[in-house]
Amino acid sequence: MTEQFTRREFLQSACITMGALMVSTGGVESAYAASTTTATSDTKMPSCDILIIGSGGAGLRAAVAAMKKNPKLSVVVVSKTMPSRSATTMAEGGINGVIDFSKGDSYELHAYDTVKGGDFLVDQDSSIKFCKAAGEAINELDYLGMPFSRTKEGKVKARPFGGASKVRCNFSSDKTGHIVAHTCLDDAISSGVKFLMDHELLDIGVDNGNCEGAVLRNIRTGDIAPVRAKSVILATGGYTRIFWNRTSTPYISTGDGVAAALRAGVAFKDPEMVQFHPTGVVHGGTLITEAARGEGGYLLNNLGERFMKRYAPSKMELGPRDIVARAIETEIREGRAFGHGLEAYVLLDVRHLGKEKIIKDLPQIRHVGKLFENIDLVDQPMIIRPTAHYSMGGIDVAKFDDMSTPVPGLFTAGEASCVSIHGANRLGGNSLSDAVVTGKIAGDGAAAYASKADFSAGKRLHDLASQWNSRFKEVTSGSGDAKQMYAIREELGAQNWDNMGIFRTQSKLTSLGGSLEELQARYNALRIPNPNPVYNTAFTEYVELGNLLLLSQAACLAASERKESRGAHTREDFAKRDDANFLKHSMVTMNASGKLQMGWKDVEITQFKVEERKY
Amino acid sequence: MKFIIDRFDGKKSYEQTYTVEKKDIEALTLLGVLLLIKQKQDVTLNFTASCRCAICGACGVRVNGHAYIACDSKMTELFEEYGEADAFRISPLANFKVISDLVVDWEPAMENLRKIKPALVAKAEFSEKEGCRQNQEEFDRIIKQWDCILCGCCASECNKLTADHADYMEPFVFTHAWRAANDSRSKDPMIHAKPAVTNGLWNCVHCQECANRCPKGISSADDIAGLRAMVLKKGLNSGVGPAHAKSFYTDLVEDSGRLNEIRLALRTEGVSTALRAGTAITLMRAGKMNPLEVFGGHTIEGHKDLVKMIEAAKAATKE
Amino acid sequence: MQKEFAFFPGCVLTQAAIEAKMAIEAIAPILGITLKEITGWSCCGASQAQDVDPLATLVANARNLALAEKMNLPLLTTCSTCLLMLTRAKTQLDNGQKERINTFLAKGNMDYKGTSEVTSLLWLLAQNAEEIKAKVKKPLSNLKVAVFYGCHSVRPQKDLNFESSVNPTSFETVVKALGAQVVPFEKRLDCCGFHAVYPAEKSVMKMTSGIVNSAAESKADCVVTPCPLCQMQLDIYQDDAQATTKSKARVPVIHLSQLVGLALGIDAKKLGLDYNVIDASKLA
Repeated sequence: MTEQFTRREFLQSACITMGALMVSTGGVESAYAASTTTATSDTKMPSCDILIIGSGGAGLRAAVAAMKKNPKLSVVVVSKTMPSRSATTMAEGGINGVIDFSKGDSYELHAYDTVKGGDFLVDQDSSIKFCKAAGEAINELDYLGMPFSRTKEGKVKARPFGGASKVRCNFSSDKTGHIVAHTCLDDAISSGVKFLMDHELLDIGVDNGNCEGAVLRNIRTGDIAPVRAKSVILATGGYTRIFWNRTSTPYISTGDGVAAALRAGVAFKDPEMVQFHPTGVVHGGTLITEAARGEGGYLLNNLGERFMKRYAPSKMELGPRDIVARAIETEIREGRAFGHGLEAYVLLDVRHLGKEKIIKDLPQIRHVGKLFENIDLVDQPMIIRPTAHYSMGGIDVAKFDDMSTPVPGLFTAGEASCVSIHGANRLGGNSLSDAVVTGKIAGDGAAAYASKADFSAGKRLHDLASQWNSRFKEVTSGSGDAKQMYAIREELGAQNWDNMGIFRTQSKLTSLGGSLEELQARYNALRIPNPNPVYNTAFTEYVELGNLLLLSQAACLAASERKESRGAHTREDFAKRDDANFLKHSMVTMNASGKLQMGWKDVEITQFKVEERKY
Repeated sequence: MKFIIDRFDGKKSYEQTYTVEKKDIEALTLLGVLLLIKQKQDVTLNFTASCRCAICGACGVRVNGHAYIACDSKMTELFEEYGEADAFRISPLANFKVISDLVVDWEPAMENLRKIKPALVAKAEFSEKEGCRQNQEEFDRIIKQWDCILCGCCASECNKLTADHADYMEPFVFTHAWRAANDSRSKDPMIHAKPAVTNGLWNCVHCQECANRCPKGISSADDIAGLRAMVLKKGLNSGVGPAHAKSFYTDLVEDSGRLNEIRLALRTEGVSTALRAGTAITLMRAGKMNPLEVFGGHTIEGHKDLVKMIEAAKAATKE
Repeated sequence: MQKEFAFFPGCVLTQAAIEAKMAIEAIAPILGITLKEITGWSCCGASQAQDVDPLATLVANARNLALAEKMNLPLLTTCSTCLLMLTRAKTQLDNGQKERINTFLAKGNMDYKGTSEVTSLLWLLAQNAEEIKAKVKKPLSNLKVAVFYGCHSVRPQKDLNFESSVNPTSFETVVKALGAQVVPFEKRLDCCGFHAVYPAEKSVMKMTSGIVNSAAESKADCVVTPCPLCQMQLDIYQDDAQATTKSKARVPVIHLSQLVGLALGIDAKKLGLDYNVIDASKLA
């Protein structure tokens, strides 16, 4: 019997033996009520039709799409904090999408740029569908209320961007991501989306090959509960926090969904494909936008020379991101940089542009310089180093058309997913398109599935919740020191950066494998005594660190096995791209005993001929 | 130096003092200090942080009773602001329910956002397929209010919310209503403006805390004023708030050019001025209120010219 | 110290805060200041008319500023809301609105040039504290004062551009120069609620009461404020407010100008202390 839960029924059936959260009427409601009732099943577990983990652009789009597709379904968006703290807000450049066909642009051309940009590791049919949807999404976002910068004719304005053969990076001044995130949030709020705030994902339950739902931890109360759902959408963002502070991404983007999917039997596809952005703040890793170079800034080494002349003599500082990133790391390795260790750096100098121009066109960068490094770019050059910026890899998508994973009932969207649209290197402007497009597709897909599916009994969920409850008790009691956890995290970041950063070799990766094992052993022995269940962030950080360790191991394995250089993955010992052997996706899976295994999956190669990637 | 933090463990509130060496924190932001304390001294200290570069709004806290976003507040600036103090008091944002330490509950605020229907409802001439048309000037008009990162700093010191939140909303909610209502693509500004009225638009006390605390320089106070002007133009004139504001305008433009307090009371509350009889009598006893003022005060010199100027301004905006 | 000013009293000084007019007129000559009232000044809008027609109020304030400019004097006001309204108008005019607004002022044969700065009594005294101190005849050494800034004396900081809004010191500087003791007062930067006493009466009474009780708790002999609107709210409505919260405390609330007058040895009657609703006679 197919159960269609209305929102009211969902709330009535939602129950746990936990503390009650505040129940407020209207669209923002807690999923848990104080009373204990059962609905259609004999299990006393809370449930909803569609559970969406993650409230960035992708998660919010998925929620609205699902509710529109079938208004009878109960849809809940789970957020680790509250719904506007996502990485989506941090994107700046723009959102790609063809809306102007008058100058020879087309969805196919956008797809070609994407495929080439991804060094041909992109699934081509999916990329064409993606680019068509991305183009259509621009007008849709405008209609939803997103404020875009405008052309003289009042149309959405676009700017040229890296790797794009036509101008199609649509933007809203210098904070397109923030604008996209809030447009999606406003839409979600107006559409009546329900949010479950301060809840984190622990695991996904899969039984008899089907997705049962998720085990969530209520950070406010500490209660760990299995939540049954007909469809689950993982939209938890990327995993570049494996480099800990040498990344531009938020503290909360720790790849929880990717790790949970891996544990649930879904492959982690192309994990070694991490994009490094050339200019990140030294003490922190946050981004200095490309605009600094776009406006005419120079990159200088400790000899005062504009070293890009040796790496990209015609484009200089405006070469593609991976080329500039490699250039900077080479200067550091060859002793022509400043500082040492993780805090080595080169200089980004904009002084010659003059105070007036800096204040007018680069105010954000000046602010970041003062904030993070106590440097005023008007008087001094900024110190920068490459930083991990985006995860091309992610949860294996089985079908682009509904963003489903190979596990029925489990879907994924946004940076957490990997079709792959971005292949081995993402084009600037494509990640916002990704969030907005794949979010909607996943929402539609999840709704279609949930409309026909039954709730499972939740047996695996129940067991997982039990295990997590035991683990919580174990980890938060006994003797130990939180400093050990932070030490492991710092070392993880440093090890990953040094050995699996911009330049990789077999010996470094093998060494990293060993280090990760050692860190894992230390992690397994961790105890962080903190008896208070209320808002126990020590346990949250513990869970996140566990996920980062797992994801590092997967990435290390794939980086080790992919014996070629492609896109962002640079093997010094295999400097060329090897299409004969490696024109395929790496697929890391976890076997029944918890060990990671390497596999491969074909890339969809159809319309575009694989060729050398030259700009 | 000392950081005295107002903590809450889910059951009881208490303060806890952490000592740090000034030289260890001078170059940091306030968020950096909180992270330092959590990682080196006390892992149980709770606060929310995400982007650490002032775009996600997660790290709003109070320093000495005033709201800031921690990641955007350099310790050197705080030292300067508070006169090289050797102690800072750190508290959670005010006017939010505290969940733990410096972590607050955002559910009620999200519920308030829902009341004003934050998403645009576009004009019929636009469509999902074709998008909308808007010119750069119209974009520039509203884009500042889109800088809002939902950090909550404006709500923390809002004097009206502190006095009573039941008949009011966080200042940023009014800003969101303003930006949707003033979007040139909007089918009907009243979709957002009307619920602003019914949820306390006229209760703002003008304390300017919101405008003063906003790390993005948005003035919700100005947006509230803008919404008030908008709804008055649309004829939503009834109630004490509108009558009060209009009385000042009437005095300025149509009557003497200065406030007439007797008429203010009468116009604002009409018959129910009787309820204020106590105050009126007090004032008259104190010799401060001249009841003859009800017949109109002395018109200012040059009032005719003032009127001409204002008419000219009105005519210019009609074009 | 600047000695001559175009004086902008603001509407309430002509009626409900008549004592503030009396006090400023009494202290000015002793301080050596000449206040020439601007002929034909209009209401500043009081942040209320701004809610009805922001353009009309900008025009009105442009006219007020132009009138001061005609006198070749800087403008001084003793009302904080007038201060904020005039300052904001001036900022708008000086940052792009001047040409446009002048086309409207022209209809009344007026022209805004931007030559008159806007200041307040509090700012003037704080900037010349030593000079004021030298003129004190009756140092108020036994007087415990709770300084209440009032919102529009300090916020928004970027509009007023004078001192820190979270840690201002001007008022303390002046009160100490007069010889009085400043007592720590938790609500010194809070809002009195004056501007919403009609539409949000319950809240405003609570705010007013909180401020009075806080002053009483700090053992202040009086609350002093530079803004006549705050003074009105805290004084005229004090009994009502304290009744709503069933509080017994009563604390006299006096104008900054009255406090200065007391220190200058001026007779209490001349300072209008009779007009204060909560009995302030003990302060003289």
